[in-house]
Amino acid sequence: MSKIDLMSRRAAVKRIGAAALATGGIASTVQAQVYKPQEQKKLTQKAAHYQDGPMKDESCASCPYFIQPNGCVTVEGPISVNGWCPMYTQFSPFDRGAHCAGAKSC
Amino acid sequence: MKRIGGFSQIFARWALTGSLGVAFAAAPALFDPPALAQTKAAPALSGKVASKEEGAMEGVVVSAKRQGSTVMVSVVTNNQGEYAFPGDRLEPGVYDVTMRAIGYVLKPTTTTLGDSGGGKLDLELTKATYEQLALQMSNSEWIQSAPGTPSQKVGMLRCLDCHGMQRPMFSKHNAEHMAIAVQRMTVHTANASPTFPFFSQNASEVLDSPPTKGEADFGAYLASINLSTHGDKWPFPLKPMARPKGKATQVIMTTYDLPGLSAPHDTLRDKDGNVWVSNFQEQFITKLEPKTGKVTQYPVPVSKPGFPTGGLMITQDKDGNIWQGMMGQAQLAKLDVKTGQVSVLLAPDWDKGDTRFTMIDALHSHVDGKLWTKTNGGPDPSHANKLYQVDIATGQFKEILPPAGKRDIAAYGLVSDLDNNVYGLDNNGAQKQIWRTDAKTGETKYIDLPGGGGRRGHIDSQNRLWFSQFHVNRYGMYDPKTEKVTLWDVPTPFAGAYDVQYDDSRYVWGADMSTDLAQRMDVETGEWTAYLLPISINTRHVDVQKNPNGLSSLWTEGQQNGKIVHIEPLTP
Repeated sequence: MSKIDLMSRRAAVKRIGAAALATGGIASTVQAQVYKPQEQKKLTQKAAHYQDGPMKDESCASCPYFIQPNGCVTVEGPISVNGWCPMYTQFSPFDRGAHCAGAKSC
Repeated sequence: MKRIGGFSQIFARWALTGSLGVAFAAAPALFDPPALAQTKAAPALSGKVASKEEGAMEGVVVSAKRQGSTVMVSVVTNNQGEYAFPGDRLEPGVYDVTMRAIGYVLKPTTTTLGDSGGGKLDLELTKATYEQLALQMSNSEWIQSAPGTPSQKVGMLRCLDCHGMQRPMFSKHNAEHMAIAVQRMTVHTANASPTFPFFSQNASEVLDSPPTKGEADFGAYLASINLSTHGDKWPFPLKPMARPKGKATQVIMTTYDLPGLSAPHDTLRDKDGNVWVSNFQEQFITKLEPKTGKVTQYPVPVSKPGFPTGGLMITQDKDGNIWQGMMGQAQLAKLDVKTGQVSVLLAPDWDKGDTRFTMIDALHSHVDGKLWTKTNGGPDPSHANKLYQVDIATGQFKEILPPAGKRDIAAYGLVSDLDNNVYGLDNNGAQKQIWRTDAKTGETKYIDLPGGGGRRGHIDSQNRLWFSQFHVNRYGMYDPKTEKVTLWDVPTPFAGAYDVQYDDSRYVWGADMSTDLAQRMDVETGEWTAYLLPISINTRHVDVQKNPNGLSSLWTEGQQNGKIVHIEPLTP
């Protein structure tokens, strides 16, 4: 899967870069407060079926939901970089469609 | 290997993107969408597309996007492999040229168009690797390629509520872990996605129990077709769909980026040509001005902290004001188009349970000054779905109750007719009924359908209801004069037909969640033309731009990629 993994990662990084570009570094504080996304409700580690160790070659370190050094977007902490849960993915959150992810020509 | 940044940082950055709250200057590549006759002007850019394997290639979608622009224009090669961008669609500049032809790739390509136009660019495609092909597969191509029962394939369509088929298909989860993932999907909010992984309030409590048998069975099915046991290959051939041919290549498509918005759900084109957009996750009402590509966002205040933001259906009232049903915030948001001010009406049960607005229809409010809307969730599980008639002037809600002994009026789509009665499209494959409620009496009549219920639809100028049947993949039409229902099967199996609209002339337009196709059906001949879009689209709504003097066109949105697409056929 190395080729696919690489392509997904690269696509993810590119998309994130594109998102950063789109902000243009401009933001109105007032507008940001109006728009601020609501706090994400996280799952307990039990509900997420979190484990402290990896699952084969999968671990939190390579999951986009992992927050350095020991957090997660969707699961209550603390989270180990070597941990794992069935929410694990290598797709960037921005890779939501089927077509074109990672394909330069799309 | 480069590490992906933490999601919180991504999310915060993304939030700031949306927080601009002002107009985005789009630097568009195109000007006023021209009358079709104008497309006969000398091409701005033309060429041939070929590959070693096929020679000249028909049905390749070729796209040009000027660097720095938010607008991309696409055309399709004919049976000689030729493509041509009309002279009035591309202005001078440096363009990234891309293409869509499953199974093939194109090296990064740019071209510079000068003031005189007439650019020439031939494209040589090369065969995609197995891995590249897998990444190009549309949701529908995954669903069609994988073995499975009809029920399992319809079940896969539910994955598309929040994400593409790549996630389950590329997963290495075994049956046990996939069952847990399937169970988790039931506790995300209706508008959740990978960028917006919201959970319902009781998510952890629900997930403390093991998956149900149905969840376990579906998890086992997904694990049987993913990468959990078969190494780097899927246990079935990857089957791309055929590229467009003939009429399906005679089209111009324009794709608009919506900076800062990830999930446009509905579009509404007003009389001035503006396209209003609802946002499934962001707390905005959005306006796109196609003539310039300019995007303006109108923030909607938050009423329920801790509950998901975003809206679903967007509509316009008799005074031209824009309304949007704000899902988890339990609001009806109203934009006064003259002042730009946004105000909200809260649902009667707004602060109880999981009350949320989805649909709202004010298109015929000139009849009686009322709009239709509905809530789901709410404090009483035995009466979770409520239909309301709202007086626009006073903001008063009147609940319409179902007939005695009948279950809740549990619709997905709401469609008002020319007399401002309302149809409810019950997206429940087992119910096999839709209903109509009389605006004056509040009485509800049920209409039987063969197969499953309806999902979304529109009224035509003859007061007929056009609607989709998601589960059985059909377009339908109900004529209240004859009380007859007419149904058409969508040619692509398991497409997940989502929305349908008649152009009041000759064609029915529709789209779906899986195929990346816009379908046009000639109601006189029964001929279908399927236009392949340049992007992965996952449509939730269609908006037909009617044209009494020519061909109609279609607006739709990429619910999972923040884009709006306009599809303009060039031939009847």
